[in-house]
Amino acid sequence: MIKLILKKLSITFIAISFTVISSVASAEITITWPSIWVGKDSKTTVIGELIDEFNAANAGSIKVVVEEQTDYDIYAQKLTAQIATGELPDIMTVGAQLLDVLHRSGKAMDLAPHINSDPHWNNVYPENALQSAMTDGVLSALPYELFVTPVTYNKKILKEAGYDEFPDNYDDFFKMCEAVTANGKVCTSQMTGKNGWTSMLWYSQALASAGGPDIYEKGLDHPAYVKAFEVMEKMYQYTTSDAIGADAGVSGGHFLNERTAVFMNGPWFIARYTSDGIPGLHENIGVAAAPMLMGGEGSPGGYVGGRQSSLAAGKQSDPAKEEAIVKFLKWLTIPENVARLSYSSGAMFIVNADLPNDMDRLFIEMKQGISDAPYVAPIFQNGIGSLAVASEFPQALSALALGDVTPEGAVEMLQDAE
Amino acid sequence: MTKDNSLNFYSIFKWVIIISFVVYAVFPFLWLVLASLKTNAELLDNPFKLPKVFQFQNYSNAIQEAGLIQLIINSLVISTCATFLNILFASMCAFAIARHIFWWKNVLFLMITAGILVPLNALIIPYYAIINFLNLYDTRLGLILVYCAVGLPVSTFILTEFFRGIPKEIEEASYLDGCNFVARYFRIMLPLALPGLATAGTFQFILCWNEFIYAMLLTSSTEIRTIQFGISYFTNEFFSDYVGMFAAVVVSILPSITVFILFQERVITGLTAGSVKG
Amino acid sequence: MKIKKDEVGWLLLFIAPTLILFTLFFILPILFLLASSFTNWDGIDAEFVGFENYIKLFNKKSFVRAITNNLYWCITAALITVPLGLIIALLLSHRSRGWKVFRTVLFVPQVVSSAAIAMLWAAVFNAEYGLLNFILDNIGLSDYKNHNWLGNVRTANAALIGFSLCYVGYFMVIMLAKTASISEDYYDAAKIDGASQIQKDFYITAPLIKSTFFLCIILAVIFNLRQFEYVYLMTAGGPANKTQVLVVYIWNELTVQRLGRGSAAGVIMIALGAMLLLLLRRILKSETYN
Repeated sequence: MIKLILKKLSITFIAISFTVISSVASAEITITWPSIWVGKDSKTTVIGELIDEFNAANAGSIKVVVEEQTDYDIYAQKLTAQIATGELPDIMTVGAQLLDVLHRSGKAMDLAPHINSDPHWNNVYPENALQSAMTDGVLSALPYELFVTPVTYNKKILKEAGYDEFPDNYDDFFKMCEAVTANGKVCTSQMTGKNGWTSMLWYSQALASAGGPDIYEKGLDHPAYVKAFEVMEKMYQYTTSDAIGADAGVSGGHFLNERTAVFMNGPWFIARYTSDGIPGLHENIGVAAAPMLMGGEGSPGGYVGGRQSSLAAGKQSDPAKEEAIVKFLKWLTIPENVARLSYSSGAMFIVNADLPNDMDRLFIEMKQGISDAPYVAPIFQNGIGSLAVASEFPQALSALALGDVTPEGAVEMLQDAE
Repeated sequence: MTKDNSLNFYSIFKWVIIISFVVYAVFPFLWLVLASLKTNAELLDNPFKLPKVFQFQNYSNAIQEAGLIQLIINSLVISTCATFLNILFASMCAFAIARHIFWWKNVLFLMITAGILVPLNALIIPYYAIINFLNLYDTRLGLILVYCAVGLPVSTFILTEFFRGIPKEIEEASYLDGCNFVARYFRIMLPLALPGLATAGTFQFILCWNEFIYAMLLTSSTEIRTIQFGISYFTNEFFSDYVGMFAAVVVSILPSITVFILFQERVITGLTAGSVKG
Repeated sequence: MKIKKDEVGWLLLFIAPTLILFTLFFILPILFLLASSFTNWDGIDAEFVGFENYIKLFNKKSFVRAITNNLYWCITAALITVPLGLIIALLLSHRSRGWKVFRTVLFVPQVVSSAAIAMLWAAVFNAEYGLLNFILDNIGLSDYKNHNWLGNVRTANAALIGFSLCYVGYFMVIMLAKTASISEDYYDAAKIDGASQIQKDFYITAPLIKSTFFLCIILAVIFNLRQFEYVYLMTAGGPANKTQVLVVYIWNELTVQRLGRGSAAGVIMIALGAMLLLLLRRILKSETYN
């Protein structure tokens, strides 16, 4: 019997050693990058081209290999597992919610020395963009993608309701909603499904408008949080009947099919007005800053947005590999390459890049909006600084929309999540 | 007369029930096929409207872009191996528990059964650590091992119950004929438990085929990944190509339905092998 | 059968593979879960915090809600899903024309990616263009024209259960497989006695597959205790945490990197499941186990 067990064990060992042998290193440095810019992502094509060009230019010495990560939730869980138990991948794309844990783990490569030793980064990034991303002089992740989420609205529906301009304050906004409703259309697309994305953006706008762009430093006790929920409570009177529980596909679908007049989302949605919207939708769309709350601490024209994905690298023991990784990161941040990415995907980047003149009209309007904006406040999900509070938001919002809790009660739900 | 009436009433009842559940089960499938032939714009406009033009290219696009053929082959290899190992191990263990008396068998059986109620989603970090420790990250063997293991409680549970149902007399007779432990298992019990093996095997195969979280967590290269990766290929953080995904889903169904039919045929042949008494 | 001395080795060998894998992939992880449940582990730092995680969990309304919702899932599974599966299995066991096709068709939902099925049912229940409201409206129930089934506190859980019933084929297949092992002799005897089909079903087939029926109930209860996919895909616990269940709750805790508290929730779930299992065994004892 023992013989048999030994036999079993030896089979396992053979299997294990086989996998070890198959991964024997060669002279070429291989950089693995579990990337979320794959599959149907709008950046897939150009990122693929950039990697191919980089590999061709460094043939024989460096090779970047992409591991396709199509499911963002599981990718985040995987990074958490890697942070907790093992080594990080060579290069990672990290969302805002993982920046803190990545930094604290100490397993990420510190990019600060490279930034100080090479003028490239400071030349291509706006002033202070890199310095402000450092914590205690350590840069664990390179800021890369940027986003803003202004209001997009359907000019045709608004015109039918008697509005040529998008209102700049909530009193007028809700009057407009009244008029749109009377005209047989629905005013806004909202959702509480998943992370409640669109509604969370509205909430962020109202929050910055009520409490100023630095609202997140003032704590959940600040009355702005209640005021912003009061706005949301009203907003849900002028939305589709399926808003509670709706996901991004449903709420976006209503706007794409001209069932709703106003929608809020990032620049990545621009291409879909043409590809998935009803014919002629794109021409009818206007971009505007969100309305203001009377008597709030925010300023007219204020935007919300922030850091989208950042680039990070795992700590390396081999200096040659570290150099190779830095070389690739530089390649990704060369202005011409960034411009290509931006042009093809409609995404915005922090790197200063000269964009072609024939960028989408809505993209240019959003860009203009940013430079006119007195501030770009963080969105609630990233600014609040607590993943638990952010994940409770859709529950608090749906409770509010159902009349289960008052705006004060919704804030209490957020506080309890901590 | 009364008997005939009740028979008619019963057979009407029977068909009403069967047909309504068939509709219940088949309707999602038909919708899926229909939706996979639309454009995304049409789907978002109204999920229940018929498409203007059937978009058959959704299928060729899906198969090419996501490399579905390779992924299906991977899934077949991984699911078949994991199912075979799982059913082999589980039936051996179930045979030991169901047909023999030893003092700790109830403890063992309860413990393994309790494994069914472990929330596998909560074990992401331990599993990642174990697979890394065994040096099996991004290998087929790693996935096979995990799938084989996570299915053991259900398979053992089902098989124990099926083994228990086999009359004692058959085994005792063979015992007196001089059949040893191994022969009793292979020659007597396995053939008699075929319906059970096929049932447990079906579920194990479906589990492997549909598993998504660990397929993504424990692999990184496309050469190893399973069909579930192909389905997720069409959804992203900000954009989902629903029709592409639906086409991939429809393609992914065909192999698993085939396996189901093949396995379930064994149940019938198991029956015609005869000599079984409830 | 009593074990002979010289066969003890074989017995152990037959149990060994399962036991080794079970230890590696169940016992070790659960010990790890237990250990980390007493810490505030977030993936990086961990401090011992005693029972704090457990106390906090039981003070959370949404967690208690998750437990009651899970019990609701378990009870409906035992009282509705499995009995329905039994009825269909009995009907199909007649082997009338086309029974194999029906068996396969009823199993189809099992092999379709649940993400796709969930998307369909979300569309069926949708308040704006949903099929259900369209039908209800057309048969005169115009109150339901814009009823948001999944977004309403009163109907969300019921709608989820309704959706889950399309998976009844799972248990039907187990019980149907068991009927295959029933000898024709029983039915021949019944035929001579002039029994009707309904009598055969309920006096011969049903009692003979009783143990499998109980096995299905146990499986159904456990599966619904670890209910995740349907809820996660359809409502993610909303609205207002009203459809929250344990595993979705655990998943959320992991997502927000409160790994210690997630572990504690996992331990509570396993403990709860063990109690349910023992209770069920007691209720169904005389029938299933020797």
